[in-house]
Amino acid sequence: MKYENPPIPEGINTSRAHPLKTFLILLLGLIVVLAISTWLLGVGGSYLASKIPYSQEKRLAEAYAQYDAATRTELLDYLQALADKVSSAMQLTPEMKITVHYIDQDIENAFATIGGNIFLYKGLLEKLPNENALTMLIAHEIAHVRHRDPIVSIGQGAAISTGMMLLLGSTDTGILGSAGLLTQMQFSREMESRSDETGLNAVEKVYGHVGGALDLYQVLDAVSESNLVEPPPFFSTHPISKTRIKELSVLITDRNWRQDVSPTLLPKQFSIWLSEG
Amino acid sequence: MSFQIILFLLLLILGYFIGSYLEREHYRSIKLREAKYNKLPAVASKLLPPEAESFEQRLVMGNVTISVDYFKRFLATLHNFFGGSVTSYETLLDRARREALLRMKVEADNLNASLVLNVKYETASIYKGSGSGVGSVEVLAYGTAMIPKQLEA
Repeated sequence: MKYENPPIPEGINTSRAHPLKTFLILLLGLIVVLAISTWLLGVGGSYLASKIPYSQEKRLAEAYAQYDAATRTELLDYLQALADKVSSAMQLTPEMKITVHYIDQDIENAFATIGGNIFLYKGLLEKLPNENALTMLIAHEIAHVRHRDPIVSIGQGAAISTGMMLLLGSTDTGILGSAGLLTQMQFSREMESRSDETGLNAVEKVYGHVGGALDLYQVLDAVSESNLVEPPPFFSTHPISKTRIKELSVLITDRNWRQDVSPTLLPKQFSIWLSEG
Repeated sequence: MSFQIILFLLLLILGYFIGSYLEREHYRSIKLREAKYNKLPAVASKLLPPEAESFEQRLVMGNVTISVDYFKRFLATLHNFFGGSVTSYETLLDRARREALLRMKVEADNLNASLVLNVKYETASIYKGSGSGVGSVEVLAYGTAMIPKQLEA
């Protein structure tokens, strides 16, 4: 009997598609799937989080009690009094009690988080030129609380990280898990613009005019310019200060708010208070 | 974090270029040797030819282990996500089968065999279940070599 092995034609057992082409198609597909699922999770998470009762949010925020100052300082009393004035101007429900925290660090920052906790950093406070700008800052943060932005942001982050963990198997949940409660909160640009508007509204109610309030954005603008790396506006969550000033100026003209009134000065001892903490 | 991303991209690029270079070279060598050993047929038939009495029969085998490169592995992960044929492993298995068969033929040729009957393959994946380890595939080809009996002097 005669046996033979004819030469095997190539490419029967292997695909002809270039591996790089396959790679690109699959990678793009994966990115699209991830982008869509991140978006859906984000929308779903923030929607559900906005339904969390405020009493539950307060329970979640109990961790912030450790930041309560051991002793009431004059500074804290002053800031808290401003916050209370703004709260009543914004007609917050009694349940939404605002607690102001002061942090003795040279960071130009301020943020609002769950349970009505507002954190103000020394670095930003010492740059503010008058009380109206300070009130605008506090009002902006209180507006976030009133709009429930912190819990929505946390809900969004938690939904995305949980979803990604299920989808991809191993994502570091630490980023949004526990540490996320403190500083990783990201508000969308819409949240920021809305809070600017609500905040300015409250400032007008407190002082009867909006003179000096926009000085806050001049300070923020100077701060971001002094930082060498300025994120492009699209990627930065806060709309750039010049855009915010423009938007708020339109609002002021629309509502006929008085802007030409000279602002209230900060208390004489304010800078001493700041350094004392 | 950024270090991990850079390392990942570096491994991916290195895996792609080194992997495809080695694959090209391997295929070239496989084709050359396949042409060389084409004179020695290897068939899957179990039946002995009628003139079997004039042959001595001996087990011959060829074994090879080929490892997957980082790029192919990542591509396979992407394939796993979407389903469909895992094309990145196709060349790997194709090379392993042909190389194993060639090695078997080399052994048969050394025994002066004129034919290998009842050829079979066994495959095994090495590193199975080791998680992040880069996997390899083992292929064993074996058959019965038909060696013409030397005429007694």
